[in-house]
Amino acid sequence: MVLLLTSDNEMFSVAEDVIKRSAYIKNMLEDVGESDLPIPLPNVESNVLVKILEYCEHYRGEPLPASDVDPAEIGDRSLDIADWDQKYMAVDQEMLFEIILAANYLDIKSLLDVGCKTVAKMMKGKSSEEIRTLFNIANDFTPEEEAQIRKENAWAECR
Amino acid sequence: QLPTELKLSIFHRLPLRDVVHFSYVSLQFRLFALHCLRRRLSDILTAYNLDIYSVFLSLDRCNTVVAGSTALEIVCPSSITPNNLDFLCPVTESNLFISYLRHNDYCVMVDPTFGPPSIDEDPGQNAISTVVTLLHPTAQTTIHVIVSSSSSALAPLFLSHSTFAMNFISASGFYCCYPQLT
Repeated sequence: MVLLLTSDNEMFSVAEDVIKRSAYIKNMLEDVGESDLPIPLPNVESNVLVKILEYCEHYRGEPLPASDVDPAEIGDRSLDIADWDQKYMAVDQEMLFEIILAANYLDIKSLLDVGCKTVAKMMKGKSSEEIRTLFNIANDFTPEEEAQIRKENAWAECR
Repeated sequence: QLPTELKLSIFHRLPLRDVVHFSYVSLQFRLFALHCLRRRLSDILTAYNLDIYSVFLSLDRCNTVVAGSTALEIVCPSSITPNNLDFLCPVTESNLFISYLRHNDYCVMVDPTFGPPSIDEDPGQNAISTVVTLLHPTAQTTIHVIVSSSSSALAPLFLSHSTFAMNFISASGFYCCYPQLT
């Protein structure tokens, strides 16, 4: 078993083959070896780790991605998401972003992929105003600049 | 807030139309959109041992465009990696463009078993003068240079009535001719 200590000081005892889906933890276990000390996860809160472990538990026994995969590689760009993954990602936006950040920190590429696809699907077909509201982004264009950009890309407006 | 690299990763999965649409959300999103399109093309060209900057320089010099499945992949990203790269080139500039590819280690294929894809023999019907196939000897990647019979590289594209083929990338931009149907 592996001990994990979250940022809100909750301790989790997790089976090694479950948490090894995280390349970060897997590498740490290989580098440090067996230890009774918990692995601190200062960027992950307990409620997020519970969700992450649910994912790792579901995919327990599935082959791990090759270690030589470039983490910057985008991989599958389609927006297809498996049924179970869609249900798993049916959370509020704050939790969705927390899962993506935790998957990035823990280096769980498949989960990061699903998270990015879910956000991309949320964004697809939305207007720029809807995106501003969704992501709490301020419009920093002047009206003239925005009009100019819209004019250049008028074809994309026809929905 | 998601870090920049994750926002870019999300942008990479969106169709061109949405990427363009989001370029007026904010200045940051506009920069993401530009970076995303450059990266999308660069990823594909790198697989063909080509550098994006030299390709754009050659597209500009030779009035040539990228078309076919590569252009479609830019417009509608998918899980499919294009298995060849198609350039449309005007007849007047084809030698210059082919010499650019040869300079990048590509060899013109003469073996008839690896010959050009069959095309309509009637020159008036498809505006294609010839198709030159080039192979990279180490990467084993294939490039087709579709030579237009006119001084416009786009003539063969507009005589092919398929929405999937109606996307192209020139030195000045990314184009989708039927954005609502593609």
